[in-house]
Amino acid sequence: MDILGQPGFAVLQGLITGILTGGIYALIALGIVIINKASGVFNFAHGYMMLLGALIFWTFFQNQQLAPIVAFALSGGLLTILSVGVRYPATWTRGGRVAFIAVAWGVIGFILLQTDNLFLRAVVGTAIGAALMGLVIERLAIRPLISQPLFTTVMMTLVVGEVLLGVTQLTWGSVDRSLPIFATTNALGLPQAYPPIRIRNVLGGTVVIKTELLIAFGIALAAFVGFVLFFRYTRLGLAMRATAENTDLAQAVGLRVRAVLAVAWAIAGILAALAAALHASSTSLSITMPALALRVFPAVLLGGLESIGGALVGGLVIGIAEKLGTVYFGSSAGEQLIPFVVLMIILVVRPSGLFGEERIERV
Amino acid sequence: MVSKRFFVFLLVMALALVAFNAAPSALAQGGMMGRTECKEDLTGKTITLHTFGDLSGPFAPITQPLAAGFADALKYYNEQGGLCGATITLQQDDTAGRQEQTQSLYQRYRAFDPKPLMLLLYSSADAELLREQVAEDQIPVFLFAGSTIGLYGENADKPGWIFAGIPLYTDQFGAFCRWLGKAWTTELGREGTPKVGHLSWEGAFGRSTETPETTAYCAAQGVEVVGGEYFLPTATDVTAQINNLVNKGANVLFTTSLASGTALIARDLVTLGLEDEVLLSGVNWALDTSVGLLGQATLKPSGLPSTDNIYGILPYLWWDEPTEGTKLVQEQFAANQRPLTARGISYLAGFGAVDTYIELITRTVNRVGFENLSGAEVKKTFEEFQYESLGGVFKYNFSPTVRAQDQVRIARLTYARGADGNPIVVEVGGRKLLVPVVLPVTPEFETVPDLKPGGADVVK
Repeated sequence: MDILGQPGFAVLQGLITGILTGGIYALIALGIVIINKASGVFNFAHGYMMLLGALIFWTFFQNQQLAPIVAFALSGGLLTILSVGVRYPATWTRGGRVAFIAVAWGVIGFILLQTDNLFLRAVVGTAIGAALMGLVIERLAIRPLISQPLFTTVMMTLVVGEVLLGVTQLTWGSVDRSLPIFATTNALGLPQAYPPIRIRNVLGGTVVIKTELLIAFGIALAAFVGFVLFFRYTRLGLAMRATAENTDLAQAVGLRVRAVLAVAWAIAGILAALAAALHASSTSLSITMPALALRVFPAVLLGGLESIGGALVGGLVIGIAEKLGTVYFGSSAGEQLIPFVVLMIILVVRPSGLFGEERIERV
Repeated sequence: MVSKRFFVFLLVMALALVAFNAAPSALAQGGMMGRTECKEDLTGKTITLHTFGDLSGPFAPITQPLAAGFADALKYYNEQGGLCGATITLQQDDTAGRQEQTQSLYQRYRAFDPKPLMLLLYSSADAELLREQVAEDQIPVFLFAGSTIGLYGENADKPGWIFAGIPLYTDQFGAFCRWLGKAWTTELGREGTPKVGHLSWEGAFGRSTETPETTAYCAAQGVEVVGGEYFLPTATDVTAQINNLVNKGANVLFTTSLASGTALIARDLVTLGLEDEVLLSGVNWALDTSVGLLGQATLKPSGLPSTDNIYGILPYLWWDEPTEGTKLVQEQFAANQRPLTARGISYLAGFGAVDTYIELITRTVNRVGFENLSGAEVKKTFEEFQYESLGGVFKYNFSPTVRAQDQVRIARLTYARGADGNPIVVEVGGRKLLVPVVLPVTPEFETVPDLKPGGADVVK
């Protein structure tokens, strides 16, 4: 059965793969949107943060001997920064925070020192490493530029990207790596990816759903729901929204703007690492990772620079456009032309993106 | 009487010959196989090998082992006496895969005084960008990439200043079709006729094999080319591209992409359940160790990695073939504690490139003298360069009209097996791995067809 001249099952395959791939795009877009919401900066370093985050994940996941010790020290550093520097939980006393650090450090250290559950260790280790990455970027590169022209900060994100690339090159080199996160172990002790779901005899053929992409999509959706709830119902989330809306006003009502910005970068770091690890589990961990973020820029613009829901919709639309474009027009047009044509059309109709806020400035 | 004198004469000559060969020659080059002896002692001098390319961009997975091969070879050959006694140093820079950076670096290199005697470049795109400029500046280039435009120009009628250590990608594909047409029903035991779809990275490198000349040549060999699909190195999935080609009838996919690209295709073939139906093949890079390692993330129902049994082009000897040259490379690889991930084409090519450089410069010095060394003279040497680098690991046969190596075998990527027939599992960094190996399918080297536009084997 054909749909507009193409086999129906191939079109359905393209649609499903587009949706699932779009989930990863949406997660990448979310990281960019959060920084933009918190600081108004378009973060060109996001792709490089993804690369570093994925390499941190790989390091913990591949049973590297040194990693737990390093991670143990890093976890202490992170907790200290959060508790003393950022002062969250804000309402706690100094004694309470010290006790919290000690207990949390112990728990995290225990997780990182075990080698039986590499996935859990990698998740915890990466969350810490990626959050630290975001905090360090914010403290060393972004905070000094507060009150400088926005363009300077945007340029700084480009510089940060190059620095991160250099760090990854010096530390890990450039070898492509496999990251079989969603896999069991076969008789030889090799990772065996979960088999794909096959739906036979549908629209004249077999449609295949990649399990790792399906899991990645589920995680991406869960992350979205989590962040929507976070921004709507938590004090920190509300503080971030207020800061993004008007920094001066937020500061005037007692919000600690710098701390909010730091937390936003930490969250963006975690999101970058999560998206990168999910992408790498579907393909491989390659030095080309930063270019993936460039492909997601249309999704960010399409959804609206400040909209979390827009990031999700934008990611899905671009994913679907790519894959259906490939089915109908070949991959050169599908992957490199169609997403931008879709973006162009939507921006002409809605210049602020599908869900972007239309700002009216009095002159 | 005459016969006695003749016998004494022969004896004296034989003793002289033995004495000559046994005496240590001040100009002999140590540790080097089949190397030309130096006529000039360059002790105390320094010769710089200039190279730049993508060390941190999309090509980094193959160029970093290449750079490691350069470094280890330079160390080894300098320890063995260098280039006729001269110390060889390395000037190396990174373009990060950006054409503007390639151009910028070239501007810097061309301004060196004296100009580089030769450049080692890495990619087809760089070759195409710099082709006219290196000709203008009279700087010959050696690289391991087979772009027709880079080597012969837009109309393929002007052999330039760039020489390739591997065959043109068009010619590699032609050689593959020639073998495929014969082997399809016999060796491969398949039915019907072979129909090839190109599935490669977007760009000059990836698109190099799909040309009217290769399509016509393959048709003449009984192989139909059904079309091409091209994907970005960042692609998450190529199932749509595979479906497109299979729907056009493809039962063979031919790829011109590097490690992650080839591994992604292999993975998605298994995902679609097409691993037995569709044969995966590619240019020489498809058989690299990097592909064999990445492919282990997805196993076929047989339990072997998705990248098992990829067919491709092998224009050199492989690591495990027992020769003096491969033994030397293996020894140096181990001595420098290089990781398994570097045990691929690039390291071998890097080592061979330094060996080739030494031979080229030695021959040029012998011909014109050290004081008269120049890029133009090195190019003249290149144009009559018949040489077996590393004792035959790489074989070069350049001439005033030939700019690329032209001898290949067909080979397949598979995994090492023990005496019991089971795959050998090794543990690297706490992770279990199978060991990728490349096995020649055709035992003898054959000359590739000449399929550049206007080439000798182009079907009229």
